[in-house]
Amino acid sequence: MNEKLKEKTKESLSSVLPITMIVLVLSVTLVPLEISTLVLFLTGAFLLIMGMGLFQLGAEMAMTPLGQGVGGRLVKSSSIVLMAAVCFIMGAIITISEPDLQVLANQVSAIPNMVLILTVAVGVGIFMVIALLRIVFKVRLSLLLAILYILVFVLSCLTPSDFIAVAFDAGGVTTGPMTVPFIMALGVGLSAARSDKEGSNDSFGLIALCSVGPILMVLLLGIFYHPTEAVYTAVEIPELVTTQDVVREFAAEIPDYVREVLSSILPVIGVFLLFQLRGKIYRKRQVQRMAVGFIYTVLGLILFLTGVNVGFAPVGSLLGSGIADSSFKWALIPVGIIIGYYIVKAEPAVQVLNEQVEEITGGNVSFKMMNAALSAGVACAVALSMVRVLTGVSIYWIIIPGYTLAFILSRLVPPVFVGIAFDSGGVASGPMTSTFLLPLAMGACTAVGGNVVADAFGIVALVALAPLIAIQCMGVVSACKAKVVKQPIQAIEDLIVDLE
Amino acid sequence: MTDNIKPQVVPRLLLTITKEEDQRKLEELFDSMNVPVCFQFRGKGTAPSEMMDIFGMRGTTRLLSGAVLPKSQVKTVFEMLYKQLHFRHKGGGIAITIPLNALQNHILQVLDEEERAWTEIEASKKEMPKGEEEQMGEKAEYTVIWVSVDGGYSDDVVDAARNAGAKGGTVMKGRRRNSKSVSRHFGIKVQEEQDFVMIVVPKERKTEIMTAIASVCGLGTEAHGVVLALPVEDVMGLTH
Repeated sequence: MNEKLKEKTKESLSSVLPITMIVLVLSVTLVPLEISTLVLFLTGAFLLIMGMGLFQLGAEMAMTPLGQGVGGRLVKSSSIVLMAAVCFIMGAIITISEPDLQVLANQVSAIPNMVLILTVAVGVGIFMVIALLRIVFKVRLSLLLAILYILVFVLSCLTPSDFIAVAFDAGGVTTGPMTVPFIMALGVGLSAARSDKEGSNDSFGLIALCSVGPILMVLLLGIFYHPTEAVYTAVEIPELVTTQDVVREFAAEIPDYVREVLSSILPVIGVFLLFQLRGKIYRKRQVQRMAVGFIYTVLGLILFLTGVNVGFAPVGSLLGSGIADSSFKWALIPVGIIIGYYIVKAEPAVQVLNEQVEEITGGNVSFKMMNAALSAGVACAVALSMVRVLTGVSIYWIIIPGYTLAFILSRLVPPVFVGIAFDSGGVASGPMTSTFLLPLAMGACTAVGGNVVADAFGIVALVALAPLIAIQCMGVVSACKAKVVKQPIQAIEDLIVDLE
Repeated sequence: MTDNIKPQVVPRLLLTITKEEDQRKLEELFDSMNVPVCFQFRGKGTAPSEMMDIFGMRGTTRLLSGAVLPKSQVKTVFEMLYKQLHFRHKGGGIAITIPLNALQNHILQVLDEEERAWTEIEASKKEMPKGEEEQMGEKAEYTVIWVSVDGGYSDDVVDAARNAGAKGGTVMKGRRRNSKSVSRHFGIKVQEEQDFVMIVVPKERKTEIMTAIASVCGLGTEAHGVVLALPVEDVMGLTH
């Protein structure tokens, strides 16, 4: 069998199987599930595996080369105003078409949908420009991010406390699985053309900046609009009797996701067509390959989202409430650790990030290292969230020290790790988190009787925070290792011996 | 000036192209033979056919490792590569050695010491059975074609080579440093991206394949391609 196909299948399986196994084990021990729910879950897992493989293949074939090409082309243009304008428009349009943003807008009833969407889109646009200017003017990423996050915290003191969770969610929402590969590759392309040794360091950081932007915007909106609460609908478990019901359930949801995915890929295709027609940067074979890649990405994401939303979300909710209801309440924490450890691998954009990282660092930071760090980080984040759900500790106790630690670390690690770490924060809180972990926390929260908004939603923010610390810790470790190897320059004469 | 005796060792550049997962095994192998791994970089394998390429079924990441070792050690290293890595399988990897014309004195000294130590150990070992010798160090003559083209044209190179009979290659990315096309924007130096393709072919087909490549992507075309051939002494992993 073709080696590429084998590789992708292996990756897919190893990402999704662990979490499937865990749920199966849990369903047999702690939380008995109805057979119909289990079948729903297994079908979802199957769709996930197929969707994941297709999506990653497509991202590799189309999104990454497109982003890198566009980025490389942008840097070569002679007018910085033009570059900034293009970045702004791209950022804004990509955000407007992001389906999760519309979902979020619907959930917040106090703010008119259009206002929210436009504000966030403008926010992302502005921050894309800031990210571009940062690369051009060589501003330190850690410095910029520190300033922005301090601003975030100042603003969050002024907004109604119930709304803060929504604001942080907006950050995670806007960098969806479709756009993450593109934006990441854009960053790589923008900085790849630079020949100085800082070049590769600046490849990362775009996603981090594009995640902070929406948070700031939504917080500002919150200050002006004073919304009271966000509406969250609980996940319903459909009544299923036969296997045909299961299929019907999935089939009913597919059109929605088709629409979502298509609407979020349209701006990317638009960018592609624009650049190709004006600049002709791609050759015929590449265009063919990218077209096929787009199809793979769309198909893969549709399968993935359908599988996750129909199969995983109800199960997540059931698991959470099931464990919280039982006498083993505190089992939520170890269960959370295990689930958190394995779920980050199933996030589609994470594998794309890992591949980029490995390529840019030339193998110094490998797949395995990234996965290990991310898994450890998210495991801790989920554990802490479960503690919050069970005890009701305010999120500030964890977030403020967490981000402070992250920024302290950012002064100690090699600069490239700062970008990678902050990018993975935005990437790790993706569809899997919002459709499995979140219902898990929500289910547990309602069973325990806590405030769903305040307690459960922190999980997304914590999952976005954990990689920042985990990956920078990895950076510290690898920097230490590198120091040990350095040898003193010996006094060797460099004579050349001719062997001919 | 030095008054050291000129070392007798004959060095070779060993280049292995393996799957990425073999990185650790390769490092251990080189360590055990005291071969210093000089460099390592990554490339991508090529698809078996045009259709497969369009559908994304290209090769996966390839690890290219280069090391300098004495010619006398080549056979043993090949033997170890054959046994411990996947070289006997198709697509498992290839190894070639390229003769060197000049080298820094210090490295030669180190290789010389290694060779002396090595020959002492070898002398005390028994002889290898004759049958196994046939499998490694294949007798056919090969040469490695190295093509450098403007970014994006690597597909054309691989297609041309494939049509002329080559089996496939490894594609790498890099930059061309050329004083005329280095432009300066806000202090950022921008350079043209380059694709490099490395194809190992039998010596008889060399001219045919190089001509095919040059006619499609040579200096007279948009690709501004440079095609050259390097001498190869020993190969492994090419005949299956």
